[in-house]
Amino acid sequence: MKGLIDNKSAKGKKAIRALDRVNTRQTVVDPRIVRALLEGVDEPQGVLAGRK
Amino acid sequence: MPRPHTFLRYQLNRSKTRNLASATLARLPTPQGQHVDSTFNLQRVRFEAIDGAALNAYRTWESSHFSWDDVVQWKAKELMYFDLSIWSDRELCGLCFANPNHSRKRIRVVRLEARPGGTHSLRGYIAPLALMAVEHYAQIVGSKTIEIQEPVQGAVSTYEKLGFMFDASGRLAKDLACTWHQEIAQLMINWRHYERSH
Repeated sequence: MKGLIDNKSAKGKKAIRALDRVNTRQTVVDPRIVRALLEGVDEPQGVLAGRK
Repeated sequence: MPRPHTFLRYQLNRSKTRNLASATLARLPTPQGQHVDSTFNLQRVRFEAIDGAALNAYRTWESSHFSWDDVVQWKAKELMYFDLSIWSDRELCGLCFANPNHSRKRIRVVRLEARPGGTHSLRGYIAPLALMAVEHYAQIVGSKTIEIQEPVQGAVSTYEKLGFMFDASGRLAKDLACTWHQEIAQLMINWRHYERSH
């Protein structure tokens, strides 16, 4: 992706910095979700949430 | 002449989120729970957008509750939406659509549906898989709260196990800025200091 951006212009440099921020951002997952991924949960069939 | 918006940043965020969700699954050990049958394998799970392939697969679902074709219009109208289709190999097992509010402080799971019939390969895993991805997305866009819009009554206990609670206004929500989040961030900082000093 970065190869497509002009890295000489100010706008291009800004875009590359924005991309780097996205690519290095740290995220963590709630341990309760991790446990559910390991063990599964009792969930109803079909719809779990939402408006028709 | 104003430059047309491509919303590249938002597309990147969505793509990054799906990659992070896949990476999270790849780091997990093989599940050994009661609900798991011998065919279940997290490594087969794929996270994709709700694209043409997902909509084609959704149309094969029998007695689906929602019309997921609506998502095409929503995607054209909203900027920061997060759309997710959850696959096990070539089987579409779940669909999710979430959207942050204007301030991005709160992200709402607008719809979440598993393949009807309960015979799909990821039965018992759609809610945690979808909410894990939404949680990654919330952190990327800077949202502090995830809210479930109109949860099905039978699924409320599942959401509660995943950390959601009804707030004062009766909305089923989860605050991402809670203690465990800060504790993990602090542990990571401590670990980096430890690595540098040794």
